[in-house]
Amino acid sequence: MGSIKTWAWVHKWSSLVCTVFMLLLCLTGLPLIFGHEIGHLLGDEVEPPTMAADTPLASMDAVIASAKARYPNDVVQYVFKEPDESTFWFVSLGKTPLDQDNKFLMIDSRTAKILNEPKFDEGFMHVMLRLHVDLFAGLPGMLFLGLMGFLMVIAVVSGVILYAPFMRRIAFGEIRKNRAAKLKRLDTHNFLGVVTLVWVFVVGLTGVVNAWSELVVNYWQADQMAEMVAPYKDLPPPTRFASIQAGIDVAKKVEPDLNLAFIAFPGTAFSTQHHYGIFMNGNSPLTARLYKPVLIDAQTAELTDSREIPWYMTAFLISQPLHFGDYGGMTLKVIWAILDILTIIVLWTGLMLWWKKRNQDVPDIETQIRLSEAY
Amino acid sequence: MVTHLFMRNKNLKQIFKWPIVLGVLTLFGLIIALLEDGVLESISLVALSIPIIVIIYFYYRN
Repeated sequence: MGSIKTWAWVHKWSSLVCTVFMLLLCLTGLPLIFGHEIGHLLGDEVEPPTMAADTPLASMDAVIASAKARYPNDVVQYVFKEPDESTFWFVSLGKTPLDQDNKFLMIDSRTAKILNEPKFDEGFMHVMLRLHVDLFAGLPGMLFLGLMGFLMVIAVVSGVILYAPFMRRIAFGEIRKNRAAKLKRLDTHNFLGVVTLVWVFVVGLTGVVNAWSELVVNYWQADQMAEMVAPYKDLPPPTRFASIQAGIDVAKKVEPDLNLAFIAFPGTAFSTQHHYGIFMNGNSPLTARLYKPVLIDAQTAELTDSREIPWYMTAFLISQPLHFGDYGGMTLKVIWAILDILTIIVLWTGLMLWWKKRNQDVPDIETQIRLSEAY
Repeated sequence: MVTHLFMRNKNLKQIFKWPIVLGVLTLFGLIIALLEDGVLESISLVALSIPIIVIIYFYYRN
């Protein structure tokens, strides 16, 4: 197992490097857990009108026509929806299919009327999101936070190994509150740390996986998408486009048991110049995230190809709910928030344990353990 | 309270028994809730709550 001294060194330095960033991630993550609810409270979200549940949906062509009527000079990039919500679509538009400076429209799925123009790229929640995802630094920021997450995983593993010698003589859950403050801090750190361990490990590791999302999607495009659309490689981009509703109907014939999750229009990251990328999903919390891509020829609305997503996309898609905690209703969100706060306490007590003794002549770790037992 | 001075050193099994039980409960809850929306989800939410209840109980007893 290596000497305790080595593990103490690993725990100290892996923690010290990542703690400030982990505190930032925990603090910004807290409002993000309740992003949807906060949006409602701030009045940013508009409720679609109530209609009978069996009101037929408008054709997707009409939805797109509404969006194009609002922004005639822009191209449609994506159509997507909220999970478990079928009364409205979000449509994103930009100057080009890959334009990052895009606009969003919320469109009623039954009447094809524009309900709202949400600003996803400004306000408090946007700042929280960017600080949490990439520190406003794009891909390098994401990869940097991914690296910090990896250090945290090392800190967790070394922390578990150090837990044993500190617990030789005290009972599980014992917090020595009536003696020195540092003992209370030490026991709190160890107890909360070991009980929240698996959650922190899972959320940390899935966060690291998410940090690689852009690269994973790029690889998937170069790998599988390129294979699926190889026959189109040398063709000029189409100038006339078939009905998107016709394309959706074809996709539903290919995957009759699945629902429409989102549409990527030609030229975006999830389609090609020649295709509508129609992404279908299932109903359970898991299958709702495991998208099945159906590529439809954008000129003829005929099927080009449809295949299972590869393992690395599956791993990435499964890691999302495990990081966000958005798959078990409000109860799971509250559990996520409490565990997040407990993690902040573990980070804080750990930082304080180091801070208070940074200027002292600190005995080596084995003496420290003995001293902590002798109190 | 100095009972720990007279306590014999615990072995690894004793030290890690409860952390492992709570860790398995957490893992079970995290994964099972992904699979289904119904009864299994409620069971996994209970499993995920237990570590939190354990923390609050031990921290505030006495």
